[in-house]
Amino acid sequence: MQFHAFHLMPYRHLDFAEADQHRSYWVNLPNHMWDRSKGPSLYAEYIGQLVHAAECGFEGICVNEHHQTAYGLMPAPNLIASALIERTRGMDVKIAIIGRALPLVANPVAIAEEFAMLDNLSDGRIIAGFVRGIGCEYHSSMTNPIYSHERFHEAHDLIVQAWTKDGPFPFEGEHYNLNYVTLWPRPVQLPHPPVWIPSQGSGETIDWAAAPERKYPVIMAFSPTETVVKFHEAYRKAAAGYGYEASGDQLGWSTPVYVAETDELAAQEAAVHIEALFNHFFHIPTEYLFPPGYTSIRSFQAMMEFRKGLATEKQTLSDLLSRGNCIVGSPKTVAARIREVHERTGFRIMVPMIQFGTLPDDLVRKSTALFAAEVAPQLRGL
Amino acid sequence: MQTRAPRANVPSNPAAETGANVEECVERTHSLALKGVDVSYWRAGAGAPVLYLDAEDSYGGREPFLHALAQGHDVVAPEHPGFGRTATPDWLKTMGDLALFYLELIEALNIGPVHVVGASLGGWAAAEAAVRSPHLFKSITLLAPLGLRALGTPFGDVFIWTPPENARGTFHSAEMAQAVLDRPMSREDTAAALQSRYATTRLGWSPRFFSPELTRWTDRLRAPVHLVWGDEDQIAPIAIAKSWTDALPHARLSRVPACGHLPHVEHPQAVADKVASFIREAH
Repeated sequence: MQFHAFHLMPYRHLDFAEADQHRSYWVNLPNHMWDRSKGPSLYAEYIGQLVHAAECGFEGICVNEHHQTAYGLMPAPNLIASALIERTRGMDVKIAIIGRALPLVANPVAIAEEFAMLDNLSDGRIIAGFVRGIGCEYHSSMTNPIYSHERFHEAHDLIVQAWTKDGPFPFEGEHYNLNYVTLWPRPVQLPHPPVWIPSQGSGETIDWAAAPERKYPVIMAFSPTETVVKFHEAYRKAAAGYGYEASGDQLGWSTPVYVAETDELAAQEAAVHIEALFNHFFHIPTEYLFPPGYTSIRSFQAMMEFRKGLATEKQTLSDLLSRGNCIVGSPKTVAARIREVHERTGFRIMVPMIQFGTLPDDLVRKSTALFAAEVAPQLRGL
Repeated sequence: MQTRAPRANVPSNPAAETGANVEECVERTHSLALKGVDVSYWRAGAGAPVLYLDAEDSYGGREPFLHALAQGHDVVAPEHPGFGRTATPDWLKTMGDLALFYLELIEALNIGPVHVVGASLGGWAAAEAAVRSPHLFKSITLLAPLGLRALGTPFGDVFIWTPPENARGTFHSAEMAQAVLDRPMSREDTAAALQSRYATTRLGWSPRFFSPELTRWTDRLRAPVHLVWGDEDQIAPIAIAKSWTDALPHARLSRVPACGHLPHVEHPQAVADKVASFIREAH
């Protein structure tokens, strides 16, 4: 099993009492709540935490993209990736950008170019991730969500061709039309940088990623354990349908993880911070999360019926633990939780979110070091 | 005017119904295959043909207005392709596509030149059609149309509003808003409402509810134009009416007090009277 430390880089100094008065933490959260004096040190702290994870022995460190939200401060994740590449020069650590939101850009060649640059800057250490962006991103960028899937697939094809085909060549699509595609620079890795697909588990995405010409690892993010298991199984089934057996290296799980010396101490130290993530930063109304077209009408109706049954009260750490929305405990407990899912699905890409909500620097570093020293070694041979 | 027959969903022979039948005064729902779409349209009344293009969501409340308008007119009210229970054709990408479809429909039903009445997104479609083929329109009545913007006055963001906010943002009358929220909806009704919302997204997400091209070509609206606008419209605030009257100095503006975004639903008889009187003058 391989371990990749993931970070959202939230604005952890947020005044939740005020932010909760607003409609959402996304899209149109007033930014007078941003303290200009805290921005520089916050980025330094978060980049330092990812570099620390690399120093502790994680195989990879991961960033992602979100816009206009206190939930994550990386509208341009490749800028952070570039800084991480320099800070980890000479180290055998992957830099995973999981991912860039393809449908939001006017010319996806720009994304192919940025990744090609990063691949050169890192001498082949990057993992490229592709996402559609969450629904909120379609409100903030005004990209038409009806074409989200179409643009994602077409942009993906364009980027992979730009990486792999000799240019110049023309690209003739529905959404993107270019007379001349010829990348300068070309990526280092052959046939192209590895591609990971972070997902909330849409069946369509799993079928697409598992196709034999792609075999992209899917990283299940933020889901209760049973959902993660279900979608790992769906991936295996899709692969079987294509006539091959999926490897554990195609199955990933990303979830907030906190390790402390004992279960009690871990719960005590993590509770308020993990609750901040789920009860505040995740404050997203349905209309923001699922603009029309982001999902099919049928999935939207099914989802609304499902959500009707959900409690809207604040969730406590024990609620979250009982559903498996996060892993919190001693090294023994944390290793057991990961091993349990591995035994059920065979997944081999573990992506712990090392910082979540308001978790401060000292606790992030303590948990990261404990994970690397006492959890990962127990599981690496799986 | 003959007695109105009960409404019936009559699967019909398109060939038999493509000609306008001014003798027919019964209210019927017809269907017609056009451009790969099974268009369903409501038709009633006798007199000058009036093509009614619906709002993106009239909350099932357009009928009293249509009944009033059918007193003296041959009213044709299609369901938009891609909306409600009508499938989304591959060719439907922009308001221009919808406009060209309605030019096809006018020709197929042989009702042109026609008086067009369009509400909200339907008003936008009417204007887009009329700038393309001005000679097919005798008069143009726009009920709080989308299509032009007013700088500094954004449209209400119906896509971030919750369903209750949408109802309250649509109707000035709180009772009417509550009534549409309380009306029974089957799973199929909900799917049809979602289908309309998805189609509205397809056509109007960005640029949001206006067309730069239409903005440049309003001088091709050569038939008399009548704007009907609710004073309390929260989706297309009344300030946007000025963009239309600035572009069309001869247009008539009828403001409707105590009225939200769907004047024809909120005040059906009063609005039908205004529309009928304008059509009579223009005829």
